[in-house]
Parts: sequence; structure tokens; C-alpha cells
Amino acid sequence: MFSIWLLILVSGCDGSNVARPQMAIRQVNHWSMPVAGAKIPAPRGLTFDSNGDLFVLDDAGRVLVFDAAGQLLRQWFMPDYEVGKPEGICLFRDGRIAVSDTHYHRIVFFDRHGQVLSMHGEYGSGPGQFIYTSAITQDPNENYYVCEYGGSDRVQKFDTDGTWLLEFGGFGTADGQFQRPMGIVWNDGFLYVADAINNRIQVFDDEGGFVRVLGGDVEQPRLHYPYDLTGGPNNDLFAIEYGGNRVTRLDLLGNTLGTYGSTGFGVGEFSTPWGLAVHSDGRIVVADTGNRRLVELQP
Amino acid sequence: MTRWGLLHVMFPPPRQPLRRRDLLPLVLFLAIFSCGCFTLDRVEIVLFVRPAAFLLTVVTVWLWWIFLAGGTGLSPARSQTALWIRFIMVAGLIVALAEPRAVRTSNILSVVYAVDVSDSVGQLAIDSALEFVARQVSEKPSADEAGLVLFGAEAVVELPPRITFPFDGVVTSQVRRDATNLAEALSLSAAMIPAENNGRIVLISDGTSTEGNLTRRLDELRARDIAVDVLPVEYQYENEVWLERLELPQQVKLEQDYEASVMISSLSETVGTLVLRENGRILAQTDVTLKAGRNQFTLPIQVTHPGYYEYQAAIELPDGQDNLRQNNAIDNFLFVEGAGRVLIVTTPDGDPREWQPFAESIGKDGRLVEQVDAFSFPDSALALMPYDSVVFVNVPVNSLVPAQMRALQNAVRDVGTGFLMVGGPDSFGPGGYHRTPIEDALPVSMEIEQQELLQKGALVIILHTCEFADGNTWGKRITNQAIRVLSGHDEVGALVYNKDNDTEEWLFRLTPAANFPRLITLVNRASIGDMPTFATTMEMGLAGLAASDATNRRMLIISDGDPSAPTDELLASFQQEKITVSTVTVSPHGENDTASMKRIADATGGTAYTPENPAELPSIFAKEARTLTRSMIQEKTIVPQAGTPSALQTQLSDAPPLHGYILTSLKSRAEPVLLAPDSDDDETGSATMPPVPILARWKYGLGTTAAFTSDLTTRWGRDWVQWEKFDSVTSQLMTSLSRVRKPAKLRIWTHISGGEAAIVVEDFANSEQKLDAGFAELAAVINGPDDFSETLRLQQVGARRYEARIPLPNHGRYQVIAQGNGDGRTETVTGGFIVPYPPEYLRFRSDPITLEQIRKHTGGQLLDPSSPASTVFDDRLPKSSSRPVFDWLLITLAVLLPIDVAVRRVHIDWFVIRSLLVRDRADDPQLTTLGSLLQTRQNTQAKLDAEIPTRPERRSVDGGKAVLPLQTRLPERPSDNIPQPQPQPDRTDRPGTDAQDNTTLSRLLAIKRQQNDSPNENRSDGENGASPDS
Repeated sequence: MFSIWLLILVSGCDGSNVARPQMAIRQVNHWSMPVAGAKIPAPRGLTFDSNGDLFVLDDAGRVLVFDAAGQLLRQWFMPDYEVGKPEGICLFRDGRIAVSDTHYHRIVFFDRHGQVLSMHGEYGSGPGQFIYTSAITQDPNENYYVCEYGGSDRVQKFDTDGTWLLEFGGFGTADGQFQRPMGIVWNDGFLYVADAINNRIQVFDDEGGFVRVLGGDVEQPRLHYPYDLTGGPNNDLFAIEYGGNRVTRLDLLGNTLGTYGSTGFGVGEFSTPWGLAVHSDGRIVVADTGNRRLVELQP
Repeated sequence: MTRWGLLHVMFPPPRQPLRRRDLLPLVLFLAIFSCGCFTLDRVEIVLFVRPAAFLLTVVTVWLWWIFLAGGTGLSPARSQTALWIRFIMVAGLIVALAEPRAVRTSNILSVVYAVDVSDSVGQLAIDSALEFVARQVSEKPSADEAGLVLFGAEAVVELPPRITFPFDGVVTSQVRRDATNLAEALSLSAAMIPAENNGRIVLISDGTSTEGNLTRRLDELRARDIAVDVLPVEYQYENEVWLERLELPQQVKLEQDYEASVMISSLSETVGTLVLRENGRILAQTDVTLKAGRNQFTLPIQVTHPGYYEYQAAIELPDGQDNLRQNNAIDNFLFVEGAGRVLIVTTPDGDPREWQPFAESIGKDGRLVEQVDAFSFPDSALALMPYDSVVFVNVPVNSLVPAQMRALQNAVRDVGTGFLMVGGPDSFGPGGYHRTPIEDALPVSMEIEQQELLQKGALVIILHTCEFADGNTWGKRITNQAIRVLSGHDEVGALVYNKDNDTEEWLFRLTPAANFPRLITLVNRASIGDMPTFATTMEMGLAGLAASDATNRRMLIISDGDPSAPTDELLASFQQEKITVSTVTVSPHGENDTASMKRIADATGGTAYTPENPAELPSIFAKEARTLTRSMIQEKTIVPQAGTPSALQTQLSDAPPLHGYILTSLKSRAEPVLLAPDSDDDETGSATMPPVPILARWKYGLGTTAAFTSDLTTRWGRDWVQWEKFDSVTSQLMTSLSRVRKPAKLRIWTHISGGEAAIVVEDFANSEQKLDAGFAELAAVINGPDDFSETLRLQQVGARRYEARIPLPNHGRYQVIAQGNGDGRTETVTGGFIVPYPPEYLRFRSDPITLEQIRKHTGGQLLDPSSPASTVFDDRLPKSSSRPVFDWLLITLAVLLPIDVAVRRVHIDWFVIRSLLVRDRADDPQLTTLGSLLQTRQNTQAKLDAEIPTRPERRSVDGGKAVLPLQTRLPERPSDNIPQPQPQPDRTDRPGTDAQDNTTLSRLLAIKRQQNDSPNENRSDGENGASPDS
């Protein structure tokens, strides 16, 4: 008996189970990705539009649009996808759909029906050039920000016409530097960037000035490869952790408000999730990449 | 003891009249127990296998009765607790005997898709089948499970049944596709279905099964209630041409004309071109017209020199006239015995100076010498028959394939072909021969006993999932090869991004490569995922290598290059620790990935490889791993010392110096001809050092092999090649190794017919012997591809004629070595046969009857390519399964047992515990109240003691202050209204009681003495002692 109690006590003291508030999830729904030939593709980037339709990128090189019930409305392929597949998607205020065409070092703009409107960028590390584009976001002034990695890990800012405005960051571990910035969100004049490999979220002003690491030196949120970041309906942040296999909800100061998920393939489990989107009604959809499915969490 | 006496003991009279309320615990228990068990059984939470065990419930009545009769001397509450614990324990025991099984009802359906990927199905049909599977799985209910099994000659699990189905549309498992084994496919699929779930198999196949026992498997499936739905892959070839036979003359004379007979079958009339090749060279080519059915053609052949001739007849057909190309060629061979030859094997694109001095030397005494590079070395022992000996000159192992090494091993061991390995920087250990069939055949081992002569190496391999076909399989394979070539004391570790738990971790930490088998198992089991950054694994590897005491420390990364690169600071740490990192970039997304990998290698002094195709990977990994074994190369001048005396050794008595050699270890039975001199800087004493061989030889099976660990070039053996005795030494060495040919009195014929290979041996011994004289035993060893080896006993079927048949093995070249013993002699003869293609390529239409049989036998459905997922996933009933819970009951009983004892026997005096806890705080003013209580209790105790004059005061051992013991309560005195069989004597009257001895033990002893003195009282106390507490 003593041994059993000792085991229970010891197992609860490894430090990994330090109490973190859990997100209350009322219902979990799974959607399998539509097949592409014999492949069941893996979802990557996600975003909602104002109608509640969900735009999804997958590793078959497609952009898919689902309605709120998970029914596929339409899909189209990227202009090129042999070399690699896109990773980030953002719906612009003017209706354009911006997709970071990662391995083609550019941003592709579509209309809502999948017609290519324009493409922006080329390989390089100069202004307006990209290596591997990852995440995109837009501010209320319709300037947009593009994250990239591959040695030139930085964020570039463009106006709505694609004119280069500024850049900040660089490859490294110091404050203001990145190792694979994978998620970005604008909130009230500040940019929150998911610095994936450095396991942190950095805050910049929208002129690129480094402000702080979320949580500061006091208590940074414990994140394991945050791969995407998005804003929630209550002025909060939601991060998806590729390594941690969970959704983490944070306030703007970096306090952890709740987490959900663990490693695996069952209900409430994720495998290398890549992206997430949060609807204004609170619904969260996770691109459960390793499990090749979309997971809808209803709080 | 009489019957009534026993009954009296078992059911002693109660200590007090039975009251109605005394029945309450028993009735309550029986009600709870029976209702509980009945309910559990009825609602199917628990199933009882042996319900008859519940008859033992009557024991609880006896237990209750004994409890009543005995009395426990406990307070009523504790007494009742003790009774109920006993009840629970007995209940647990009864339930355990009833063999309870926890029932679990599952509504989950596990579907395993078994897809036939054998060649008869065809790639188009396989692709369609996989699309069907993917579509169905994407439409399945999210809680149901789907898995994928692929099968051909064997079955493998591509994806186990899970609610997720991460299938990339590309088959990654390796399956032999030249046969179909439906039985194994169904068996493995069924085994993958969890017992607690509903199970279903969807079989997608053409139904043609070439191996396995299907009937038994179907019975097993039906027993498990697993239905097999079938999706037939239907085809029927209208046009098909196949070669049935290529017949060659059994015996030929040089420069005589003979005919090769080719039999070709066709399903329809067509035309084609028949080509006959001899050792790959076109010998004849003719246009032929084929009619439906069998067609026979003859082509002329002529042999001008002794040797091994392999003939291939092939038919070339217009498009659309054939479906299976695999059966369009057939092989056979001729072996014309002649003078033995020496085959020198060299490095492809190697320097001729490596082998020319030696080849010229051994050719001077008339030996026929041939030279081939390692790529052209035969991969079957059959083709080695013309050679009396084979010499490897500085050939690295990565220029050979396993089949070539096995062919040489078979030729040496079973035929007696000689083998010599001549050293060089790419031979022996540095050449990567560790743990190979070649090492097995050699008289020296690559495992170095003199570890102090070697520099220890440490290699960390980082495996990143590669996005090319079979990327992970390749990664594992080449990692295994890299580990294999390392010396046993070298250390190797592997790091991966584990897909199962999504974290970077050691597959195994730096471990001596001697643990090869365990490491291989770990590599093969690895679940390799897509790592986001190199930094983490490189940091882990750096820490491991930095802690290693190895002299040569390396890291090897295989990746597509897209994880985030390490920082400059991390790369500087590698430079600081003098750890080199080589990178292998496979299928990069672009130049940036290649540049990223190159940056790592350049910064650390490693090499950046960018192979164009995965086939280059093994040699890259082997080369990198071999850099750790460079310390086996001893580049110093030595004068070889004499080994075991022999004729050869006498020749070598004044051998000139050598300027380098490879460290090896002499095997125990090997003959050392020359040894390296003892090392001058050997501080441990040469007497304890094992000898280092320079030239050694031994018998290996029927053959002799030798190892010369230096070289015969201007590099190390420059003095030898100019030595006047060089020619005679090489001649004598080759003579001692070469196969000794005896005049053959046996002849062997082989032919293939009816799915069997027939081996016929005829004895042509001299005619003076009687015709019926024969061998007591004639056996044949058959060696073939994939480590095939079988020994057959040939039956005598006629005068001096012996025959055996075996079912046709896999396609390939088979060597047959027949040996007869008896009649005062031993004779050996060597032959062989070639199986051109497996029976899989003789199936020209699908077999829907077999599929229908499977479906009907298991109650499955017939599917079509458009069947929706609901066809498969909607058909189910909740399934109950059970598993034993005996262990839990056992744990419960084990927990209750000490509680039972504790309740009855242990009395915890909380006051004492409290006093112990507050002792050190006695001065605390807050404890004043407690102190006064303590004082009050002590006073009360003293007063009680004073009322019992004979009760001695308990003293501490040191005779000091009295202490309060942790008490065990004495039995309480019975109340006055209970009739007493014997009046309890006053404690003051206990005979023999010491006034100073008032311990529990002393009181018990006194009672026992009293019982001995008074038999009547004894019986009364004995009844009390029948309490369950005793």
C-alpha cells in the first residue's frame, strides 16, 4: 500500500503536471480532410471569414472552404505546389485571400472563388523578397505583415498595394530575433509574433520596435513550438503548439487563461497541430496536422 | 473427536442468547452481496464464469456464528467493523472463485482494408484500390477505426486501425510482390482488430493466391465474427505470352554445334522477336510467329571455352500483345569444366596498381587469372563454379551487395572455392566488413581485441523524416548499415523527432556498437517525425558527444534541410568541441535547404552530401561511419614475425618489411602464418597481448580462406612486390587456397517441371563395381537467394540413379551440391537450376470464386468501386467483450488482510501520539491546557493503579520514570447479565502472579497457567478462543 501511495505521490511531482488552467470545452467535433487521390491530406493554415466559413490550406496544395457545419463548399489548388505546400492564410479586409506560398517564396492573392489576383515576392533576403513565407496578418490600416523563415527569419510590413514599408527581426535567439516565426496577429497597435523554435511570443509595435516577450521575465507562458497565433473574441490570444499538442489561451500580458489538448489521436488529442482559427462565437478549429483532420472545439 | 464434538467445535454455543438484532449484519450482508452480484451480472457489467462458486456464500453464516460465539473482546463498533471486513474478505474470495470478468460494450467498428499489391494485380488497380480506401476512410464515422494492410508474398501493416488515418497515398511498406498470400493477409488483418471492437475486413484483391492455407484462416475469422467484404479486382488477359522452358544440352564438347530449345506459350496468335543471350551478349535474334498454345523454337549455340555460360531467351512483343513482362524471359546455364581460374575482384574505378603486381605474379606459373570490379562480381554461387579461388584486393564492402557476399560464402563453404582478402585502406574493418558473411568466412575478425591500439570513435546520427518515397525506410536502412560497419567499441547514438510523442529524443544514447542487434531493433521500431528545428537535436547530440571519451567524434544529419537551422553560437560550440558534422540532403525543397545543410557541414569541418538518388545513401553513410575506423590502419614499418610453422611460413622466413597493415584479430582456429611484431610502446607486456595477424588462413567448410592484412602495392608492400621470392610465395599461397578438383564420377541434372525442381544424380563409377552397388546416403544441399538453404536426401530410383524433388522456391539462381557417402568412397558434384519467375506471373485472370468463397464463409458483402463508406461502416451491433478482474480482487484482499488484523489487534492510543508530538513544545504557553489534561490523565491512571494493589507499576527499562505504553487492550470483562461458564478469578488471586509484573504477556502467561491448573476452566476459555480472532 505504501508503495502504491508513494508511486502516486511521486508521479504527481514531476513538475510537468504543474496546474495550468484547463479550457472548458463542451463538445469536440472531428472532420476528416477530403481526399486528394489516395492521399488523406494534412491541414495546415486556417482562418474564418466573417460569414463563418472556414478557409483551410492543406499539404496537397489546396485551399478548401468549409461551411460552419463542416461541409466542403469549394476548393482550388495553388498555382504551383510540386516543390512545397503553402503554410499561412489571411483574409484581407478588401476581400482578397492572401496565402503564403512558402516554398515558392511569395504571397499569392486569390479572390473568394480561387482566381489568382496577383502574386507578390521572390526568393531573396532583400526588402520585398522572401525565403520561406509563413504567416500573414493585416492591421486596420490595411497594411499587412509577412513572416518568413529559412535563415532570414523576419517580419516585413507592406502597405495594401504591396509597397514595402519596413522589416524587423532576424535569425537568432535574442530579444527581437526569431527562429521560425510561424504566427502573427495585430492587436491594438501591437504585433504578437509566435517565435516557434524559441518557444515564445514576442510583442512589437506596428513600426517594428521590440516591446517585450509575452510574459516578460516574470512568467512567460510555457509554450512548445507555438506554430500559430490568433486573436480571440475577448481580446485574448490563442496559440497552437506544434510540440505541445495543445491550444493555449493567453491574455495580452501573457497569463495563461487555459489550455486544451494532449498528444495522441483520440478525442482531445492532437499530433503536430499546425494552425488554428477562432470564430467570433468562440468556436476554435485546430488543424490537427499529424492526424489529418480538423478539430472543432466548442467552449 | 466424535462427530458431535467436531460439530460442537465448528458451531460452539453462543456466549449469549441469540437476539434478533444479532442477525442483522448477516442478513444485511447477504442481501447486499446477492443483490450486488445479481445486478452486476444482469446489467452485464461483470460476467461470472463459475456462478456455482456462490454456493460458498453459506460460509458467511458460519463466519457470523463463530463471531457471535467467540466474542472479540472489542468495543461494539470495532467488533462490527471486524465482522464486516471478514464478510467483505469472504465475499471477495467467493467472487474470485466465480471468475469474474469485466464486461465492456463497444459500438466502435474497426475496419482493416487489406489491399493486394502483388504484381498480378497491377499498379493501376493498386492505385484505384488505395483511392477507394482513402475515400471510404475520409467518409467514415469519426469514432470508428480504419487500418491498412498490404500484402503480396507476405502481409505488412501500413497503418494500424485507429480513428485517424494519416495516409499519404503512397505505400511505404516493403512487400514482396512476386506472390500472393491471402491467408496471411486475412490473418494479419484480423490480428490488428482490437478484441473489444466490432471487426470487419475489406479485402481488395484479384483472388489469386499462390501461397498459404486459406481454409483454416476463414474458420478463424468466422469464429471471431469478423466479416470479410470483398472488392474484386477483375481482369482476364486476352493476350499474354510467356516463356515456359529453355532447354540446353546436358553435356557439351568445345567448338561443337548444339541447339537451345525454347518453348513459348501464348493465349492468342501474335508475332514477336525471340532473342537468345549468352552471358548478356546477344547470340541469336529471330522474328517468330506465335500461334495460340505452345510454340517451340530452336536456336544454335556453340561453346568454345570452358566456363560458366548463362543463357537467356526473351521474347519481344508489339504493344498490346502482352500484359506481364516478368514472364517474357527465361534463363538456364551451361557449365563446361576446364582448368581452374583465379578471379581477382577490385574496386570499381580503382587504381590498377592495386592488383596488377599480384595478378601478374600468380599468373606466372600458368594460372588463368580474370579480373572483375566488385559491381560485376557474380551474385550467385553458380556463376562462381569455374573459379578455384577468388581474391578481393582492397575492395570496400559498400561496392558489394549482400547477395554477392552470400554467393562467395556459399561457394567457399559448400563447393570449396578458395578465398583471399588482400588488404588496403578500404579492406577489412576500414572497408566495412564487420558483421558480414565475408568476415564470417575469413580467418580474422574485424573486432579488435587490442582496444588500446585503436582510437575510439563516437557517431551521432540525426534522422529527419525525408519527403521522398520510403524516406524513413531509407533512413533506417542506412543507419543500420552505418552502425554495422563500426567497430564494437565505437559508440553510436541516434536522435529523432519522435512522431508518437512529438518531441526530440534519443532513439538510443551513445552506446557501444557491439550492441548492434539491440540498436538495429530500436532503429527499426523508430517513429520518425518532421522536426521543426535542427537546434534541439544538435544540442542533445553535442552534449552526448562532449561527454564521450571518444577521440574521433562525428555527427551525421540526414534531412531534406527544411528544419530551422542552428544558430552560429551552436555551430561554434561544435567547433570548440572539435566535433564534425556531415550532412546528407535528400529531396530538398530548394537551394535554400541545401545551403542550410552545407552551412552546418562547412562550419564544423564536415562534408555536405547532396545525393541525386537514395541509392547513394548507403555508401555515404558507410563512408562516414568508416571514418571512425581509420585507426585500424597502422601505417608504420614492421618486419613480420613467423607464425605457426608450415611450408608457406618457411618460404616467408626472410620476408621483407611491410609499411602498413590493417588491425584485425585472429580467430581461434585460424593458422597464423605471419604476425605483426609486438608493439614497442606496449606497456602492459607483450605476453598478454593477442597476436596481430599479417597473414592467416583456415579451413571454412570445404574451402580454405586467407587474409593478408597488408597490401601488395607500392603503398605498404613495395618491398614485397620487388622481393625475389614474391612469385613463389604468391604461387604457394594460391596453391594452398585453391579448390582441389577430383575426377567426377557423379553427374547431376536438374530441371523444373510442374511447380517442382527435380534433382537427378547418376553415378558413373567404374564398371567393375556391381550395378546395384550404391551410396548408403546421397544428400544435396541447395543454396539460393534470400538465404535459402535446404538439404535433401536423394532417393535411389534406379541403378546408380538418385532423385529428389522440391517445391519450386522463389525465383533466382540455385546451386545444388550433391554428396554421396558409402561404398568406400565419398563423391561430390555441383549443379544448379534457375527459377526464371514466380508462379505469380502465370496467373492470367482473376479468381472471383476464391473471393466469393471468402465472402460467403465470413458473411461479408460484395463491394464495388463506388460503394460508399456507409456500406461498410453502417453494419454493426454493439459488441461485448470481457477481461478478467481477478487481479483487482486479489489486490483488494491483500489490502483488507492487514486492515482486518489492525482492527482487531491494534489499538492506537491517540493520547500517546499527541504527547509525542507536543513533547518538544512543552514550554509553549499555548499548550498549558493540554499539559493540564495530561496531568489529569496521569493522576487518574495513578488512582486506578492504586485501586488494583496487585497491578504493578509499569517501569521503564532504565528504572526511571514511568512511561505510557502504546496499549493493546485486554479483553473486556463480560457484563453481569451474561452467564459465565466459570467465574473469572479476581486478578489479585491469579496464581503465580508477580506483583511487579503486570505486562500483557505476563497476564496471558498467568491465564495459561491457570487453564492448565483447571481443566474445566480450560474448556471454557477454549471456547472463547474459537473466536475468529484467534
